[in-house]
Amino acid sequence: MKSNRVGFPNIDAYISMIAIGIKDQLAYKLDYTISLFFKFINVLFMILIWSAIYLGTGVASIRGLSLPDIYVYFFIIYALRGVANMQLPDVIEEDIQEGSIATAYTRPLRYPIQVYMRGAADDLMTMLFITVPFFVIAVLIAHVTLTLGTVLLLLVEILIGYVLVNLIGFLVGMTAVKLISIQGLEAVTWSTLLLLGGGIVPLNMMPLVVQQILYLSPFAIMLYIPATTFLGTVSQSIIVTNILASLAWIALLTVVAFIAWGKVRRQLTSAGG
Amino acid sequence: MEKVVEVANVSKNFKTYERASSGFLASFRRHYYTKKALISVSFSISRGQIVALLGRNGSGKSTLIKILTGILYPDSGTVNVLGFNPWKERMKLAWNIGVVLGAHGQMYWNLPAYDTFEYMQKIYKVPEEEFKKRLAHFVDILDLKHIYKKPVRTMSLGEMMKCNFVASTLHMPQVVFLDEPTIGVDIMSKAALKKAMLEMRAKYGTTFILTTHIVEDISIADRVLMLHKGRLVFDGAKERLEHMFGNKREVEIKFVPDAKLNLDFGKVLYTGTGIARLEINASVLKSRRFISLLSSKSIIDYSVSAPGLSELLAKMYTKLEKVH
Repeated sequence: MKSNRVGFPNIDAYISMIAIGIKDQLAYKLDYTISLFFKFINVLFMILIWSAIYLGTGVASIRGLSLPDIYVYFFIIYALRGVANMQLPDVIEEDIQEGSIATAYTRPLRYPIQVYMRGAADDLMTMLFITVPFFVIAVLIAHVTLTLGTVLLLLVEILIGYVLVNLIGFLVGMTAVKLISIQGLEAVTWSTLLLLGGGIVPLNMMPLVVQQILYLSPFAIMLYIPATTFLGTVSQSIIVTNILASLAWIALLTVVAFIAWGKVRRQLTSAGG
Repeated sequence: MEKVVEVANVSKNFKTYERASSGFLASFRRHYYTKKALISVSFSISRGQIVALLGRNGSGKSTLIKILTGILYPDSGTVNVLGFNPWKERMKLAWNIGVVLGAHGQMYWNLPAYDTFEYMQKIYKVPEEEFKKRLAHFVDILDLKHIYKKPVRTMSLGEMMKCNFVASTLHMPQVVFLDEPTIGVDIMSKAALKKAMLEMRAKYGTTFILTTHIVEDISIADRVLMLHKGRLVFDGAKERLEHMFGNKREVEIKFVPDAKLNLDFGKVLYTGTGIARLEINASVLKSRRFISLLSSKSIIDYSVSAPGLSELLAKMYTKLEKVH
């Protein structure tokens, strides 16, 4: 009676999950365009604040970064924020609270991968409409020459940062099993990630001890390291240290995510009875 | 006949809590207790059967469905669905079942239902030609022609439920689980869903297991399983349920106003000028004394009615409340 159709990784299904996710995002094109516009406005606020700091104090550079460098830095930061964003907690929270996690569980697909793919649909859109244009702007205003080696290094750093931010997002999302709302926790996590990842203040402007700690943290690679790799203002030793530390964080957080998912899986009781 | 579902001594408890009813400080205290969702439930279902899982809110219906589909695991007992242990072989089982979990739809809200259907085609690897053929058939019997290409958010509840049904059955699963499939669904849509189910059963031998507390839904079922406070309290044909709990008949008699009649056959519900209503045991209808009463010249007209299933269930639930 057993069917021959065994659930091997169903790549087609996961890809079509991304495709339908993109369709879903584009169902309301005006809403999406407005949200993009606000993201563009956001970077202008950051540029205004830093212009005020530089022009107000009259300094030509702070820790080796001039005002034009800061402009490029924040365009790159906002480009990276299109990749390193926290979609997963919202996806998981919605599934748990609406009970649709039960429906997801009746499909021949692994739930954590389903969640990642749904997040990926959103990520691809922001990469296309946020990351690419901001990168183009940064390239146009920066006086840096990108070698193939730098581009490849940037891609590796961005990939590592993407994996890390999604692992953290997955762990935050799973707290929805216990909490009524995870919006607060999500906001705190995102703020921490921005601050400690160099999304508000470049990390090299922080005290040396703090810098050394942050280069070993999982946050620097999400924003600061790729941004300064692009600018060419970070040393190779810091890049190597941070990449190795980030890989160790990926290994650790993957183990934690597996254990946590195992526990959460048994706690999922869904609605009804 | 081939068994597709086998459940033996399945129990499931949930740890839950309640707060003190009043007082500020009391709101910080929780009283934890164990809720017995299922208590030693056993049954089996043969291929092609349509089984209605009845019970009041909180009786354990949804928990049972979730265990059978691998969403939840039981604390004890064994479950076998199509040869699989649902919670250990969830992925393998998922290829062979279809699930409609009430309002928890699987449709993409902002997109036409057709997009979800195509998405399901990819998930279950339904060949293109087969997909088109099946979809055309469903569109026809469920009257979805002007529905399935408009955004799901603009659909009525009944339209959404029909689309949910299609999305869950396009891959022609061997067993279909429907949790409260007819809530808010109009008569026409219910009839269409019923027709689709009967056709699938006839054509592919599909087994349907549906939970409901809407009595009319039972009309399609071959068999009724009734849960009460986690216990399986009835397992049998719908007719047996009626027989066990529905042996009462209501008789309305219209007679010549001055006639002197002996109405001592059961409970007299009402008497008025030339009219009386009695509640009697069904067996009394065949008794010689009752037949002779109805055939007497004083009787102008009479009618006999059996209580509906709703009334039967209400009676049954009341009885069960006293027992458990």
